Amino acid sequence: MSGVLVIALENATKVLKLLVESSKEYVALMELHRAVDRSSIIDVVNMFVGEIYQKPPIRSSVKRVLRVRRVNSIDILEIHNDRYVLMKVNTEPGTYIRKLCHDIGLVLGVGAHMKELRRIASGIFNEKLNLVTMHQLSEAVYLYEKHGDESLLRRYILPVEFAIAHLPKIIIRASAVDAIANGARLAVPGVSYVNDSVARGSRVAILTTKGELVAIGVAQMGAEEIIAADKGIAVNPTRVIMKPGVYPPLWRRKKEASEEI
Amino acid sequence: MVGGYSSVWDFIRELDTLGGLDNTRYLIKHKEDESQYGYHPWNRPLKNHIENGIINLDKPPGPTSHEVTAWVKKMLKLNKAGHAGTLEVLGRSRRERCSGYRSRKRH
Repeated sequence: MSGVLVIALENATKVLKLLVESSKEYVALMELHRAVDRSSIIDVVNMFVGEIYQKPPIRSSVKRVLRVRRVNSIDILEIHNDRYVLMKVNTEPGTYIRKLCHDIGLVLGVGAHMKELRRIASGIFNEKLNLVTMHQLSEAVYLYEKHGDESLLRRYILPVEFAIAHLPKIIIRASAVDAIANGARLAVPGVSYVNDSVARGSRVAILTTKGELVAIGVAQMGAEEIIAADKGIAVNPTRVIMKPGVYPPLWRRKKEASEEI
Repeated sequence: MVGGYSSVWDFIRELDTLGGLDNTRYLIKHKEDESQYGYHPWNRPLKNHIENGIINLDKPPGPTSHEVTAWVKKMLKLNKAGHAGTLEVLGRSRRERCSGYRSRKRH
């Protein structure tokens, strides 16, 4: 099946967990095994919006236990000959559309299967956001290797920061960056700007003043608390993306200074 | 949308808009100018850009997600690459699935 497949390269693979957990949108073509009148199709399809139970299909890449998945929406785009249903499905990750079609067929009483599937969005990545084909990518590599022109490669490869677009962001001072890159927690004095959607316990992204992703973490304070506080831990990083040494280790100086005294 | 930002805030706000955070604002804790270290995400040296990169790939229907990812890794001569959420392949016969027949024929 075709469509949006987000691929993370080298150091960017550290954000994959975030990408895997994002919601997905598909266009699917379902074939019913016998004709059913339009209104029943619409009724039954709508029954599958919301929380559904789903057992992964026999041919699947996960353990086959009944699990609950949320289907955010199903829009029927077209019904052809009362047998072919083209629909747009927005779901939680880990929902098998193939199984969804099969189950819709069971409820309709005629049986059904998925004929075609195309993923049109995975989180913020959709068909409008620099979607590239294998051909385009190989062209870009050729252009660079034969002619030293890196413009296409630069256009087709997005910076890792796009993976955290949906997270509330905290921008930190240059002096705090290397400490975080080395695994330290983010303390309040290191914060430069904070997005007002940061809430205690929410997942946040830590960026430099140049917009580079340093780490992903869990906020220990809300935005207002961070502004009001003089000290304390603002964010517990859960995944550090930036390698140490990109920014100078200004945080070591303090320690050395205190040792001298 | 590639590069050409007048300030780093354009980039951050672009991400916010994509992520549905366009109605949020930033509170100032400690005003600081752009650092002199590191690189703007769109202006990294090419090697650095690739190693911190994400490709929004339009997967062709034939090969598996894993195969496609492996090809991209090979094309760009990388050590590591991974994909988010497998897009399964339909309609391969058992002969094709188990024997590697399809992939042999293809190459």
